[in-house]
Amino acid sequence: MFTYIGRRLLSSIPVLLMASFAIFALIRVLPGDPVSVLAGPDARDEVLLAVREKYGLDKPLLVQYWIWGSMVLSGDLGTSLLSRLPVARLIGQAFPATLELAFVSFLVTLIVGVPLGVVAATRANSSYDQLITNVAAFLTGVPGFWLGLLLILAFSVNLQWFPPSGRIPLFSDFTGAMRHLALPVLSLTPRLIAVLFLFVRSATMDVRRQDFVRTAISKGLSARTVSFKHVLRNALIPVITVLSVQFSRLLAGAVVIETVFAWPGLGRMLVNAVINLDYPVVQAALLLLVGLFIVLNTLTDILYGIADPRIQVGASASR
Amino acid sequence: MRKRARSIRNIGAPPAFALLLVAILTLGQFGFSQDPQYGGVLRVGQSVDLLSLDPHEDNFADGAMLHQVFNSLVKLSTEDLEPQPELAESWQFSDNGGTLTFALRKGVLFHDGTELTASDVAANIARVQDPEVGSKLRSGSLLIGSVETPDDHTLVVHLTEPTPTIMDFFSKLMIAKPESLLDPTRAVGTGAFSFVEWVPGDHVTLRRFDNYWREGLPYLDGIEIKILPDEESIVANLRAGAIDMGRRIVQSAAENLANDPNFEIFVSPHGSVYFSLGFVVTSPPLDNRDVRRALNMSIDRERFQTVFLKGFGTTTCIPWPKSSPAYNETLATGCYFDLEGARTLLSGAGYADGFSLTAEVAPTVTPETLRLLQLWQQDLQQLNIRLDIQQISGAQYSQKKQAGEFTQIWADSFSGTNRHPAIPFLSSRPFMPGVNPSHFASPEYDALIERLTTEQDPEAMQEAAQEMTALLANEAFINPYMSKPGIWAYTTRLHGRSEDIGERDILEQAWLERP
Repeated sequence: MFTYIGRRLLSSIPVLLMASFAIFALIRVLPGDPVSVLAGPDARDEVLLAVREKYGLDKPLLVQYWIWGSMVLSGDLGTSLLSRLPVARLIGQAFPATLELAFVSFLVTLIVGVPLGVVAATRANSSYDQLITNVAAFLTGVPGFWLGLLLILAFSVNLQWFPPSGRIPLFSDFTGAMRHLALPVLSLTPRLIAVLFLFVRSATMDVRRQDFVRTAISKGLSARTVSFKHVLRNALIPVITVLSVQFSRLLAGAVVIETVFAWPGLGRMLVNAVINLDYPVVQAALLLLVGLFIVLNTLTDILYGIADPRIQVGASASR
Repeated sequence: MRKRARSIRNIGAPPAFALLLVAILTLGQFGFSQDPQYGGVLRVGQSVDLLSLDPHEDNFADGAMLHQVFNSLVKLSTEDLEPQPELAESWQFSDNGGTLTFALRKGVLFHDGTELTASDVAANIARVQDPEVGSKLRSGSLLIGSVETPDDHTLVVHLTEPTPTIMDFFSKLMIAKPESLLDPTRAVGTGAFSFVEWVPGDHVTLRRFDNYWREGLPYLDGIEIKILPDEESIVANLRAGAIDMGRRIVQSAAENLANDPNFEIFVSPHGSVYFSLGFVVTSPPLDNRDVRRALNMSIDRERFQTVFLKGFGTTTCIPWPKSSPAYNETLATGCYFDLEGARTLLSGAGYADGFSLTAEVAPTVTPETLRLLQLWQQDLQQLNIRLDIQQISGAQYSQKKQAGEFTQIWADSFSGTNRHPAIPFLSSRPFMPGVNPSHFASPEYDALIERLTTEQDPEAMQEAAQEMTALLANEAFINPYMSKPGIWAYTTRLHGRSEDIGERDILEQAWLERP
C-alpha cells in the first residue's frame, strides 16, 4: 500500500509540472495587463514601467516561469499583485473556509443520500421509491444559487433565523459557525444528495439481483443486515467514484454559492484574482487544486481496495 | 429632528428627486435631539473588497476604512472646497506662492503609540512620488519639488511652480507610519480607529483608538466592514439585521428600502461619479467636430435617467457640478437630445447617409454605461448610424485606456471634477493632455490647463475654467451625460455619519442609538 502511495505521488510530479506550466501560460493568454489594473487607468507611463519592473513582469515569460517555479519549490508562493499580501496567507485564509463548507456539505450528503438510496432500492417501485426518485430528479435540476436566494429571503430576511452571509471559523465559535454554515450547506446539498441517492439506488438494485444476496436472504439474515452489510458494501464502488467527483466539485466549484453567501472561500478568491489578473494568486490556487485532486484520486483508489478487497491497489505495479 | 427619507418609489422625475434631496439635507441641519451615546460596533456592508491596506493607493473601494484609520494634513470643506485643519493646525503660502509651510498639530499619536513628526509626513510624500510604488496620488505629488523639516512640527514644501491645487493633494494624502508601509499586512495611522484585521473577501475589523487626538471621539467601540457579493446582498443583510449600514447601493435597492421605517436612505449631494462617452478624434468620421457634436446631441440623457437610474442622478453635458467655478448652466444643458439638430449637423458634415461606429465598454466595471450604449444604439439607427458595441473585461479596458487603443468610442466613468477645476487635467486620463484616449490635442487646450493650474486669483481662475468648459462642449471629445450620486442605506439607530467630497465615509462622530 505504502509503495503504491509513494509511486502514485512520484508519478504526480510530472503532472504537477505540466499543470503548472499550463496554468502559468493560460492566465497570461487572458486579455489585459495586470500592471494597468495595479497602477490604475490614470497612471502615467513611467509609473507603469517602474511597476512592471518591480514585479518582474518585464522579463521574458520563460524567465518569469523559472522564477515562480523556483519560489514555489522553496515554499514561497509569492505576493499578490493587488493586495501585496503573501499568497500563502491569502490561501491560508480562504482554503479552510472552502474545506469547511465542502466537508460539512459532503457529510450531510453522505448521511442523507446513502440511506435514502438503500431504502429506495430495497422498496423498488413502491410509492415511497417513486416519490423519492421523483423528488431527486427534480432536485438535480434546481440551481443552487436560486435555492440560496430563496433560503436567504425565507430564513434570513423574513424569519431572521440564520445570517444571510459571512463565516465564523468552526473552532472559534461552534454555534455561530453552524448558524453561518446552515444556509450555504442547505443550498449546496439538495442537488448532491439527489445525485448520490440516484447512484446508490441504482447500484444497490444491481447488487440485489446477484446470487450472493439471494443466498444471504435464504440464510435468514435480516433485511437490514442484507441491505447494509452485504448489498451496500458491494454497491460502494460506483458510489465512491461519484463521491470523489462530488467532493472535487465542492472544493473547486462552489464559487456560485460562495458568492451568494459571501463565503470567503477559495473559489471566490480565485474568480476575483482572475478578473484582476492577479497572476501569483491564480497560479498558486490552481496548483493547489491540481495537487488536491491528485491526492483525492489516490485516496479514491485506496478506498476501492478497502470497499472490495478483490481490487488490490497497486497490484499490477508490484507484479 | 431626525432626517428621514420617505418613499421614493414614485419619484421618477429629477425635480422631485432634487426636492427630496434638499429636504434631506435641510432636515439634517437641525441635528439630533439626543446626545451621542458611546459604545457599539457599527457593521458596514459594501460590495467591493479593499484592494490593499496601502492608504496611498487612493482606491474607491477603501471608502469605508480610509478616514477612520488615517488622517490627512487638511480636509477640504464639502461646501466651498476651502482647506480645513486636520493634522496641520495651520499653513501659510510664501508671497510668491512657491513655498507652503505647515504647522503640524502637537501630541498626535500613531496607533503604535509613537508621535507624528514632520519627518513622517515627508516620508509619506517621498513614497507617493516614487514611481515604483504606483500610487494614484503621484501626479499631484509631482507639484512638490522638495520638502524640509526644520523641526518636528514644521513642514516646508517647495513647489515646482506656484499652484493652488496643491491643497487638493494634501487633502488626499493620508499619513501613515512610514515603517508600517513596508508591511502590506499593517495599516498604522493616526485616525479615530485602529486597524485590527483584514480577511480578503470577508471583512475588515477596526477598533476604537483611545488616544485619538480629537478628545472624546470616537463614540463607537469599533467598525466591522463586511464584504458582500452585490447590492442585493447588502439589502438582504440590512433587512436581516446583519449590517447597520450599506454603502453605495443601487437605485432599485434604495427604492426597495425607502418605505421601510427602520432605514434611512442618504443620497450624497456630491455626485462625484460621471458617466461619459469618449470619442477618438483621430478616427474618421469622429475627426469631424460637427459629427462629434451631432452624436453628443443624439444621446437621450433624460430617458437613460428615467429608465435605468430611476430618476437618480443629474443629466448633464459638462463634467462639472453646480458648485464648481467651471460650471455653466447653458452649456450643461446645451447638448440635450435633439435628433433633428443632429441630422442637420451630420448633413452639413457630409454624413447624411450615415456610417458605422464601434464602441468599447467594460460592463463589469460600469454596467450603466452598457445600458446607455444599448439605448443610444436605437436612437442612432434613426440617423442611419450603426453602432457596434464591444464588451471587454475591466482589465482589458484599463489597458486600452492607458495605451490609447480604443477604436472609436469608449464608454467611461470618471470622478474628481468636484474638486479644483485643474485636478482632472492633472490626474484623470480622459482629460490629460498628450495621453488622453481620445487623442485630443490643441495649443488652446494646453494653454488653458496651464492657466487653470497656476492661476491664484480666484476670479481669473474662474474665467479660465469657464473658457475650458466652452472648449470641452465645443470639441465634444469627452461627453458626460450623467453624474451619479452614491446612495447609502442605514438603520435609523445610526447618527453622525458624514462624508468627504469623494463620498468616503467619516465615522469618527458616528454613534449608534441603543435599541
